[in-house]
Amino acid sequence: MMQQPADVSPGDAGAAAAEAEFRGQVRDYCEHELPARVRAKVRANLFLEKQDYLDFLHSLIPRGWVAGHWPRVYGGCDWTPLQRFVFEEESARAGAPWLIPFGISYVGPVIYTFGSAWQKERFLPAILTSTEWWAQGYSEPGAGSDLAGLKTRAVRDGDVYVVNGQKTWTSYVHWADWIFCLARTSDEARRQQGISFLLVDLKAPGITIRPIRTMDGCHHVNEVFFDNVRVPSRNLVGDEGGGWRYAKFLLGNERVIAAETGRSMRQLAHLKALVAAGSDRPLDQARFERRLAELELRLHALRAFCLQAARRMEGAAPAGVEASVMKVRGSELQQAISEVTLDWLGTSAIVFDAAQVHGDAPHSHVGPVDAAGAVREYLHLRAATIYGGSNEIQRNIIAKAELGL
Amino acid sequence: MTPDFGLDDTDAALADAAAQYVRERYAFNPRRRLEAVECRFSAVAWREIAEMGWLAVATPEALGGVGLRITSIALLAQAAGRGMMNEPLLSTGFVAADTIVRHGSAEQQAAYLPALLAGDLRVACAFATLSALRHKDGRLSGRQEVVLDADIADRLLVQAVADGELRWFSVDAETAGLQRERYPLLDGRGAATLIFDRCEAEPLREGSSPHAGWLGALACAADACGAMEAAFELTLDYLKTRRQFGVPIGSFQVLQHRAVDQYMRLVECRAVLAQAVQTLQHRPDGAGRDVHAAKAFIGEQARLALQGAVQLHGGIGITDEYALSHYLRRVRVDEQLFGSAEQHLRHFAAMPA
Repeated sequence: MMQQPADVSPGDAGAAAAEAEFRGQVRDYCEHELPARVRAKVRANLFLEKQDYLDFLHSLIPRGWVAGHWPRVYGGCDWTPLQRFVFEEESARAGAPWLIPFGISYVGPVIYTFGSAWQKERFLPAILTSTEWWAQGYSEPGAGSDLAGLKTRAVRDGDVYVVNGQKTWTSYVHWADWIFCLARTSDEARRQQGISFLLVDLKAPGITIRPIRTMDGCHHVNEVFFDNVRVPSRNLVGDEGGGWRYAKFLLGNERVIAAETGRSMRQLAHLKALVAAGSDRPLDQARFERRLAELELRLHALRAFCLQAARRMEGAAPAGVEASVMKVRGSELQQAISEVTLDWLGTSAIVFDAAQVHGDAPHSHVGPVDAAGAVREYLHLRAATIYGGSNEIQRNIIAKAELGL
Repeated sequence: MTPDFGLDDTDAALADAAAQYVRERYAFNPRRRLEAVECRFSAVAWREIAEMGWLAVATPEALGGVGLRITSIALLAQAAGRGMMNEPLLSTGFVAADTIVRHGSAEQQAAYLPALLAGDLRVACAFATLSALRHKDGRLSGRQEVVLDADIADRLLVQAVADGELRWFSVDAETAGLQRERYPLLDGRGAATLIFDRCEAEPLREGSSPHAGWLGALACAADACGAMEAAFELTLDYLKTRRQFGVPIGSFQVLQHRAVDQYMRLVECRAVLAQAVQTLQHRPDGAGRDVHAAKAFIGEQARLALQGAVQLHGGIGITDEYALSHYLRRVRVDEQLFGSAEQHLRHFAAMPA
């Protein structure tokens, strides 16, 4: 148990210099090429429109960084896990938006790892140029944490699958062109068997999208209904009935990103600036400085853990239990920072009007100009411990896989 | 268990030897039956520790050691924590050696280091606190409380204010005018209050590098990490073997999730420790922040982990006859030695990333 390769940071001057140099390149990109308008919106925690994400993605194309972690042969840069971590951390810290992962980090690697030659040629280039957007069709009303309980069906009819069912919590599907779906193609004794991984064109007849408004007053997630949707059989990834394996591969990728250290660095720097500016409640100052120190220490520990794990990873090996630790600790920390931020903002954080967080410039009725953005972030982050496999599910995984309980 | 920081062949061999030695010499049950005084300090074990070279890892080769090896210091301190070793490895072998190397004159190094490395000279170190000692007209006065291992030391290194500057002094533990009030610590280690009344004291070279203090804090954090690892293993074993309601209690999800919380504390502590070890080894001048972080983080996390481990054990966890309660006491002591977790947190927060 817990035996890990010891050599995590070999004081190897060459490796340290290479890491620092790459970090410098990412900083250079953020300073000169990351669109200033988008960056300002991110830093104010405003709601981002599709165009904001597109502007960001387009700014990455000249450097070939849209999917830097992909193999070079598919248009990536062969980034090591460490480079990928450094890119995500540095860019998020500087105010780059979330690199929406459904195409780039989720379905892309599934396609180039398990997909057919036709699928690779058809789908990968459009992900790299952001001309086609993807959404993820996993959760269903009756299949959340218990994903294997999904009921959406795909029935083979000649050279098509006929899909019926419902997906939910589907992020940004209203901006997407395609959705990858888990659907049941047969009933087996083990529920994980008989699930297939399908690529579905959202323009196909029979698909209805209904928005779900979340408590931050924004539209991120949706319900998606499939009514006799016909999907060509060439859109099946890998083997019929093998979808669970691809889904697990994908979820492993999802959790690596979930530490979100860069975002926490930015939010904590923002909070420190707020506290340093003082308030009309001087008696609170020392207590908040103590809370800041605790958050800073938690962030330090999470970064140490992630950096060492990334340095240890060879190639794109799935991160397993380490990824679960990152997901749990990363999401807890994000929530903690936003909670302290709202505490600091006091009554200015109970004033909220969703219109304040839409548009290009921050606006708040009371308190700092970006107070409403901080409230939006707080509300939005309540999902961080739920999505991507809830933190309770992550604890189940660690208990079973690592502790043998 | 292999530590997380980068180990070379020397360290790997040392880690194996330390694990085996601690398992045999410091097995909990036989030690539990020893008298307190035997448990406090074993001359036999101390001799073996010196012979194995554990006291030589903070001293350069030119002065008879094996070079300053932070990785070795950390792994030995982890072994000491796991074995709940009470001999003055941290204070004499690491901190005193480092202080003499950095601040001793050539004569002082020649006078003290060979005996220290051979296990013939036990040295305790008193870092300045607010009630700092004063050195005036060639004499040392003042009072210093809870100096680790000063109860069994032959010589004391003390930091005092001299001409407005902090400076190290060396004092014979039996010198006239020095009163030593000895007492046990919570975990079986020992300390003393030192009361100096115009004592003769030999100044070391001017200046006071933070290095020895960092080394002490780091080793202490590693000690707590070792204790925490051992306690976690006990806890996991207990969850798998203790049966209630006809099943192992580890099959209950509420206990599984608590065990996972313990595990996450442990792996984060190991990462924070590894980072501090690497920085102090390779970029010592800029190591303060990482060392403060390690002492602050591990101090609190080890305490929370051990408190949680006691709860997971139930009644047996609070008994003196079971190792777990001793680990709790060990990490509580570690949390306060070489600067409390709270003080280190303050220093950490004051330093830019």
